[in-house]
Amino acid sequence: MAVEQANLCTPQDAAVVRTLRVFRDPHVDRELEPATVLIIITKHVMSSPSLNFQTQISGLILSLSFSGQRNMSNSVIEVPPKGGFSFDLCKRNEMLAKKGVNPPSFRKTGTTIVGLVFQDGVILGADTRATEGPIVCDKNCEKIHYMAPNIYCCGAGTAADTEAVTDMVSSQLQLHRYHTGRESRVVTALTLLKRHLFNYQGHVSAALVLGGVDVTGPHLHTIYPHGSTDTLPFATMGSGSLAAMAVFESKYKEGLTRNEGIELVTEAICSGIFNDLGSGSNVDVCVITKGGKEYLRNHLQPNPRTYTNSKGYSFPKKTEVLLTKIIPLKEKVEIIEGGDAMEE
Amino acid sequence: MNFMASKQPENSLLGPEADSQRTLYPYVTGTSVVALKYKDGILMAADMGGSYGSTLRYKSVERMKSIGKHSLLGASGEISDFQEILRYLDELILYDNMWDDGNSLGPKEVHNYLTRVMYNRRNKFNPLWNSLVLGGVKNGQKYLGTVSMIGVNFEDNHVATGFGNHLARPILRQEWHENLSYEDGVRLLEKCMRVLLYRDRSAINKLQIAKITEEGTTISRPYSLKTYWEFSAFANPAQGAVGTW
Repeated sequence: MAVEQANLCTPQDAAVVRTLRVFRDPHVDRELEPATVLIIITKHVMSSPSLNFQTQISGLILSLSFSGQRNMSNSVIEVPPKGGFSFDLCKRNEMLAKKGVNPPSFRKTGTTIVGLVFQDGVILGADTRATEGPIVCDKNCEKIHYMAPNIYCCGAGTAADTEAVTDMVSSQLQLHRYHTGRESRVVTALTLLKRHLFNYQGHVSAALVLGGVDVTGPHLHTIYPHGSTDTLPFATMGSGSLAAMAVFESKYKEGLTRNEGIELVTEAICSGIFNDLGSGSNVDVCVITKGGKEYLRNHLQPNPRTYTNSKGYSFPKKTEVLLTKIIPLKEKVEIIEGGDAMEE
Repeated sequence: MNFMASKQPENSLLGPEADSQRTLYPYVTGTSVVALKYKDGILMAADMGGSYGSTLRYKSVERMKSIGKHSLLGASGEISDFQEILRYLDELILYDNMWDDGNSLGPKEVHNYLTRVMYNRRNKFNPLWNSLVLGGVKNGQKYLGTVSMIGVNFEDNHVATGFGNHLARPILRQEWHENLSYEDGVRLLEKCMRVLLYRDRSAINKLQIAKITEEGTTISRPYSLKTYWEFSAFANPAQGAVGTW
């Protein structure tokens, strides 16, 4: 059996091979079945704390070959697809980046997102600019995502990641609501998000501000791309977070009323919009209280188009109009109604 | 295949002896300086910390010094380079005094001198690793400017270096106005320094505020700011769900 020829790259691999050797019963002259090997190896992966082990194990598995009496002569065992993110190409990408070949820039929401806890609940705020490198690709995008009727989440980082992650957890929360028959709790959303993000070791570049009100009260959390979370009375994330945090640190106090809270959030987002190049356009605000939520889309529009021609744009009349009579084309083919050339 | 027996140095144009003389990275650094123009002159604030990497090595570093009769210089970045700049400026002021012509270098002139020094050092790939803030009053004219280690210089109504650019400038942009009184100016500077204290890891709670007016310069004694840590969410962050973090 070619287990011994396995590529031993780490001490953990050596431990796995040792286990395999033990399992091979010396009294019965029979090769280890591939399924047994898989089970043993999977058990080792589950018990090991670090995920880097996974890539090494997949390397190890592929280097084993079974020359058994069964129909598997010199065939590499088929590893069932693990699903989800494959980290195999990350090393290659790093190597390429060192040589100067950079991956294409993706759409990021260089952003200012904030949240604060006030007297009756939570207020979330966000700017509305989405950037692709140095270009503004969306002047008025929505960064406050729906999670549950009582929970909303602002997202900064790669736009696709924030959308996908919040959508996914939102559906999971709804299924959970059906299952339990209760209103979702903020900590549920928090745990689902942080487990997912930690699983992908920071490659899902989503920095979130999660806020909501549930039976246990108002909650505000920040979630970082690597999966760590904080529970805070006020929070900011994104490229404009320092500008917004400066406003919060100087002006926040406990027990703000709803209007004071909205004003402070708007001020913080404006500070981000005007002092950070990655943020701009309008301010979105979302107020969540025990009674319900209020999504104030474009609550403030401090960047209107200043000079617009009232007459609009008149296209120059270059082509002369010769004839205003329309002559239909002669039909060569007769059209039969209800032709099912392609049945569904 | 390229077989090279010896490794070519990247800066082969400069020669081997140039390496030992160039500043490659800063060692003992000071953090941000914040300054603003007010009714009678300039107010500048800087804390007194000198960090050695991630250690707080020196806690009584005076990062603001008066230059001549009309100027006040604050610096962040490498402390030894700041001391070197002070030596250059000392020489400059000395020569100016020796002329004994009743004229003295004002803040605009000192700022220009510093810009030339910083820019020329950067062109030789041997920068003075500092971001400087130069403020002063001469003949009733207030002046506040800044020079960075690569020679970027400009003047404005309020300036900041380092982290102050990200945390203090937004506050100053919103709340600064012409003809601030002394108390208002100090309050505004303290607001900025408090935010910096909360959010800059190399900041310490021991700062000095310096004032320069037509009459002269005063650098206050070191003091500390009051901070507030009693938010209820800080007291018990796991209130909503026991066992979380």
